[in-house]
Amino acid sequence: MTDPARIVEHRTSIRGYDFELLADVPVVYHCHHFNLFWDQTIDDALGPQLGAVVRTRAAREAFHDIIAALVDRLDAKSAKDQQALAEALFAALGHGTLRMGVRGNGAHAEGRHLHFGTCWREKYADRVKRTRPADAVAGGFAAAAMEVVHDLLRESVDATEDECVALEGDVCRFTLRPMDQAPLMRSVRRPEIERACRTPLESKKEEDVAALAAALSDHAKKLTSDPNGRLRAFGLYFALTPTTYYNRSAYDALRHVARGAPQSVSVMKALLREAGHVGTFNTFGRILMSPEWETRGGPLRGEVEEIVRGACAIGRAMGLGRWCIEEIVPHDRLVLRLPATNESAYYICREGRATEGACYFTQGAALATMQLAHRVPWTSRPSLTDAFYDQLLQDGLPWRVEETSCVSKGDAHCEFVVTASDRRPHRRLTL
Amino acid sequence: MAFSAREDLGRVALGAPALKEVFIISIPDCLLIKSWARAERTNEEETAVQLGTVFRASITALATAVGSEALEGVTVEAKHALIRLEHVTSGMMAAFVFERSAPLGLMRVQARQLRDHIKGSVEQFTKPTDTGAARAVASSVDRAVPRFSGPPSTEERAPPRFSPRPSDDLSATPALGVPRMNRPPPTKPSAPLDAQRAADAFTREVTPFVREATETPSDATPLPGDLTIRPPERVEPSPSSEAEITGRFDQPDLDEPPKKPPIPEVPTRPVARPRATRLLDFFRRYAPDPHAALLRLSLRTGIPVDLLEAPDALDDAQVDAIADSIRDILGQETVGI
Ligand SMILES: [Zn+2]
Repeated sequence: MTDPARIVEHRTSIRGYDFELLADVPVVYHCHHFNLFWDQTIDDALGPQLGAVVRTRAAREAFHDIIAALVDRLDAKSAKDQQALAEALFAALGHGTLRMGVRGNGAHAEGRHLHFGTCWREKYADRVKRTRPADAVAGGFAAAAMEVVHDLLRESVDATEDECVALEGDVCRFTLRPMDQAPLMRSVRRPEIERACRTPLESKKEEDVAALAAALSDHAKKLTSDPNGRLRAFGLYFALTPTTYYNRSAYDALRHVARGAPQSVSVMKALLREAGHVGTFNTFGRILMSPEWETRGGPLRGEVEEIVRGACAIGRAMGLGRWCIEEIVPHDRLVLRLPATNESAYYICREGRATEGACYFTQGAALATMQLAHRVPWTSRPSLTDAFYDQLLQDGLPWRVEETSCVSKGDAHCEFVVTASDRRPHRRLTL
Repeated sequence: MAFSAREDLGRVALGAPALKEVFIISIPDCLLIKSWARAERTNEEETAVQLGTVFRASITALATAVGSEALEGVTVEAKHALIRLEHVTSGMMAAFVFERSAPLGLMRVQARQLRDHIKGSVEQFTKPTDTGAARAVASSVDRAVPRFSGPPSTEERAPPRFSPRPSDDLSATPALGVPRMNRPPPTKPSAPLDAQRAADAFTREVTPFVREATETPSDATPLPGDLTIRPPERVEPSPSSEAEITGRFDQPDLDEPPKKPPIPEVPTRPVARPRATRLLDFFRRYAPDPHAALLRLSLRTGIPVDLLEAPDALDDAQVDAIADSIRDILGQETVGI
């Protein structure tokens, strides 16, 4: 029941489109750099209190689908078994450990080594002091688990984090309260994602990209979290998280900003792009530099096409969609195409028809691909530290990205065109 | 001359009547950390850059002329002024501008006493990094200029939902006289139900699983009026900018009239304009992920990035919003400017 191997059996993918699912709910591995920056942007946009509520609800919705499905599929009948399953699932995903209990009319949860709070502390605590908890994802998970275990209406349990390791505590503590059911939204699961996947695509050098992606995907499936529920790989921490968490929180926040401070919309999009940039740069860069990569792809020569092919393979293996090279002109231009992204598949289901490309993560990821291909001296094997990253962006980003087609606009696929740009520091990532 | 770290530069200057101006300057980047002037003046930032440059050039000149001798100080003599530049720490220097009539020897003695007190403040600071030291000194000498307007006391506010723990760094160094928290922690005191209701409004369809994907974002339900985040407030465009400035100030204390700044004990110049510049300089220097720092500030305050790049055009309310956001991003109760 609580064996992680049995949970992993319920991971599937959408063949030919490279999306990952867990119990038919779309999920994705993201590293802590991306996760922290994405969350921070939501909170910058909404303020910390509303930001935390919105993020908690987004996590609660998606995790409810996963927990409810697994309880059913693994035949966990008693409340005790269901709770044990939920706790094992949380750790297996790389989010840390969570223990839940009931007290009076309410419930509580205690989290240790939680992905967001712990990683925030490790990355930022020596420079800035945090004043608010960081683990809305764990709170949303705990709320969803209580809904399932206690047979409550979905999205009717509220979670607040009262103590957090990001505030220098030893553990994270959550209060869980039954509330009125929140308004529900149309679910985003396998059928909705499949509906967005209409056009199969192949990359330039498809055979190379596909072979690398397959090898890496096999490796990724073997990654397991440690006894603390942390998943460390390639020098980064990862967590498998429902894509709805990221999408719902970002598009809800964007809509709110558009209504209340329309002049800030482009700024928020730029920051979402930066989340994609910092996550992709670190994750792809460290994978490319890893011994595992060398085993499969041979030693890096540092050529532009080689790095871009590698990026496409990694993107596919991580469940970020079917990354395809349409065109690459070194030092000048990259055109990436995907049949759909996690973002556009969500958008077309939930938000309706977009008027411009809505895949902000992937826009940032495309920029990061050009950065990796041109601005990292691979053969001297630099350490991709935070300082290296800051240095690289010190004078701005020498690329701009345009999403020329997007499934969210009704186009057949998503297309990202990255071109060389003049460096204008405060405009970086805003174009 | 009595000068404790609890006192401000202005008080200290009372004991040195020939002292006209003091600048504390970061090196090697020559940014102004703090200044004091007996009379009004306007170009402190530029002056700091020039004085810092002289000091750095002197170190280089000394090394070239006589080898690796440590520079203790530099005296600049002019027709109407004497300037003494003193090394304070590895990341900091001080410049003291005196009346020309001051005896050279006395000037040097007073400059060194002042320098030693500034240095003492830095050394007492519990985290002796340059960053922390600069903040500590800036805080310790900050009394003479108005600070960010804040509500009078924390008791007037409802307790925040998540109670942040008290500061364990700056304010825990009483010898430095760092002001204790003079405003509530940034957590909004409004009931979480407000946020819950606001979040409800995001969910635009109550019927589960059947909504057709035809709505556009503009059809969205408006947010309830009791949100702590408010719709944009129109502010007067500055004469130098055509841009419409709309702000989204979500700090609760903007509802209240700003508290009057403490009355300085010696005359100081107006600080509104340089304050924005200094805040932004400080922020650029200490913000995490510096490449994204201005964008974050812009998103939080609703002030366009172009305006943050040219802070002269900002009005007081905008500068207050910027100060709040900077304090919040850095997790500091005060920003030592
Ligand atoms: Zn936490």
